[in-house]
Amino acid sequence: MQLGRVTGTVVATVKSEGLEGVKFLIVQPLDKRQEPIGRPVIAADAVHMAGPGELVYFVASREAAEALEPRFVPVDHAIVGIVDQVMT
Amino acid sequence: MQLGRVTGTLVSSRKEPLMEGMKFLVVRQIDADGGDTASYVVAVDAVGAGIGEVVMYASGSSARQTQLTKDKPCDAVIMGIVDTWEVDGETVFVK
Amino acid sequence: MAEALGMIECRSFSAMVESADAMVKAAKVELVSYEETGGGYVTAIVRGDVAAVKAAVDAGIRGAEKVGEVISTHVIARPHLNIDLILPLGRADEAKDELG
Repeated sequence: MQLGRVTGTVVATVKSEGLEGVKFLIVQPLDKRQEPIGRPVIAADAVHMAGPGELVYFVASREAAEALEPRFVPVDHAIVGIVDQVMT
Repeated sequence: MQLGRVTGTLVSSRKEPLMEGMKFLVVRQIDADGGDTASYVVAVDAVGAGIGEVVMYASGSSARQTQLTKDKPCDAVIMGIVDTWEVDGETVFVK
Repeated sequence: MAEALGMIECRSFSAMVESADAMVKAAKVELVSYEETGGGYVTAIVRGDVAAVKAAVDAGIRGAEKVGEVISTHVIARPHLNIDLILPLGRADEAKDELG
């Protein structure tokens, strides 16, 4: 899992089956000092609560789809939690 | 997932038999600010996207998670046609 | 230019709040008002671009279903000015300006 900051939203009305009502957010991956690393990715919001500006953690690759219901969906990044505090 | 712009179609007559009947599109990756990047990807189209459209595609084993690409040798699938997106409260793209 | 209108009616205030939160987080839409029609029925009302409103309403339904019961939902792509002028849908002033 990785830390990230939600920077925006993506709206798509035509989507693959099973993704109705799932929201897609643009997430900038962060390192442990919360500095941006790498390119932003689009992640499905599996917690249904994340919004722009929030610090979140997300899973990448096929495991991401496991966080969603239904699970058989083509999703490679999913937000699985909202971060309250990071202690390093 | 990543954002991309469909730049063309790809036709292949000699291919893995499992891939028959699939539509392949050439997708150019774009940044969150809308600018083109240098990378291209060939993706299977699961939503009926057309040339010029901005799409979202999933890569890796997640790309096999559609009815169309299930158990097929596919590592990129277009799973959404983008209508709009915004970054930091600013609308970057409107279809 | 009239903006699209999205509505989600729930039978519980907290479900409506959850749906409103999901809607504004899902896409660039504005929550303009909510309406209580009695009997526990409450409706969240959003405005914005058609695609954004559609996506927001879809996400809002998912949100509300977790908490309570969704009674009805609707999206109007381009409501008539008269609708905006009379009904409390958050765009009465704009409609007045446009009608002159």
